[in-house]
Amino acid sequence: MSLKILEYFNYLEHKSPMHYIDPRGKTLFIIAITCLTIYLDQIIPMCIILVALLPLIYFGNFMKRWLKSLLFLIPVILLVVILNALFLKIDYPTTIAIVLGLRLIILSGFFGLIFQTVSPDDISQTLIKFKFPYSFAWAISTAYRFIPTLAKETNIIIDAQKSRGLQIDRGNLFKRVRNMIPLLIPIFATALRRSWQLAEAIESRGWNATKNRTYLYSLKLKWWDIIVILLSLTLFALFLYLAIADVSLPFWMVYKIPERFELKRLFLIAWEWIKNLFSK
Amino acid sequence: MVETAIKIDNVSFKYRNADSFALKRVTFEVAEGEFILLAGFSGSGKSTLLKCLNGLIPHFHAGRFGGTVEIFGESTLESDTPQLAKQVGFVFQNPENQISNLTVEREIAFPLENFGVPKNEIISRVDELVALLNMEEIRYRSPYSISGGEQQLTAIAAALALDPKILVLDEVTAHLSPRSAVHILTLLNELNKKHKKTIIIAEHRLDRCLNFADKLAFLEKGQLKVFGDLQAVFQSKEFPTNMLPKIPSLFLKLDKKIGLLGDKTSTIPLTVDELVATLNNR
Repeated sequence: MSLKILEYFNYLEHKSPMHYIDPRGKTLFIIAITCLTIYLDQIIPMCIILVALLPLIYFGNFMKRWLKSLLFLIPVILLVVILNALFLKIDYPTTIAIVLGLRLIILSGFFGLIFQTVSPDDISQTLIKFKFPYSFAWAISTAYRFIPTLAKETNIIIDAQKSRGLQIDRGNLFKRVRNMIPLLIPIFATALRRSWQLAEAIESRGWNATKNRTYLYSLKLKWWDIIVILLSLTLFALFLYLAIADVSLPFWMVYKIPERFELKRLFLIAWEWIKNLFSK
Repeated sequence: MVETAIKIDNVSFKYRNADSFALKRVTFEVAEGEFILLAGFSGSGKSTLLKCLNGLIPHFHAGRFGGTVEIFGESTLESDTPQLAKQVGFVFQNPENQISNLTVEREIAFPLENFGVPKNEIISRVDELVALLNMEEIRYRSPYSISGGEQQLTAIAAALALDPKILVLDEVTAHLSPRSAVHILTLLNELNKKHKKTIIIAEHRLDRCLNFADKLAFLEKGQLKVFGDLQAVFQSKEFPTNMLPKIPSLFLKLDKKIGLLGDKTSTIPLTVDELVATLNNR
């Protein structure tokens, strides 16, 4: 299960409108929105951000996968909300606990959306734009390119060693770790051999033949990217204003769960009721 | 007058940490436009010899190198592998381990990008190669999602991107299904005949290349035992009988039993049609 949740944060090749936004714009946007989400501590602003997130997720073709990933997150979120509501030593602990839960939901949505729509290629192109050396950017996209190949080969090695009688999932923890050695050695050996062959191949394709490399595709800012960047900067400015000027939010944004609905009180009432039930 | 494409003169090579020489005093010449078949058992030095042609030896692999390799008069000692990429396209055995880009198209463009070719020229060159090799369907696919044969096709396209006159292929069909292997070899024949590429290919299954190869070189333990046109090589005593392709092998066995060949000057049939014709003329 722990690995399956990572699936929801993988890059997805199905093109959606979100895929066409420049990765630099998206990076700025996520920085701004993360700062804002972490700074705000009221339920209503959180709900506003959540509502604003929904159309983005819809246009990013991410709704179904996001909801599925939330299924995994629900136990964690419930735990966070309940524990905080019961044990926080501040005024209105239930409000803060709900804000924490909402924060988790929002951040999972935004980060999932970004991971899903920024390809590793976008990342390497962004690095090139920021004047990183090409070999560094190339290494990133190539590492991504070889993940499925390595996974396939690892499976072959596991099968091969199993058919020779290696028991991977038997015995205590110490024994299991020791059983990994016959897997790791061939995995490293083939990875090393592969890197040599790859180096030979790129040399033969004219690696670093000239200093002025050209690119078939490179990032270009379109008008909508400018809008995204301006929007992100506005959000970031808003965050800075709120944080530095320390202004209080308008009254309609401040809503606190009333005393009589505090989770702690409800629990105590339920506890008393159960006690009475048995004392009779 | 046909130009000399490759001139290998007295080349010896010993890998660092190796006990013996991988190549021992190999000398031969290849004219432009020839299709050369390189045969030999595993470990006979085929790959080593091919790597000498584009400068991977001695620039990439360290060791003791002797002799000279000249590509159109240019010594591989003076220009390194990336510079030679314009003259020599190299395709490796394992299709998976030579593709480093995320799409087929990007892989074909990769050498052009390395040489700083302007973007619009890259696009037209990629279009050209995709049309030449019939790769429209896989153009935007990821190299992981296509078959081994298509991966090898991608590698060939990338090797051809800089329009080299020489194409060197190191057992390119070894990892492929028989059908894709035949497809690749047919394509190579076309490149050789139509586009006048000089091709050197190391190949285990000689049968498939008999009807279009011009010459055959046989390596054994790093030494060039025989080099010449197919007839001369198959009739030579140096060429091991267990390496003979099916039809010549069958013919020679029949010849031994019932004396088909008569005098030594007549030719050995290479294909079924030639065998039938020889038998009919007898």
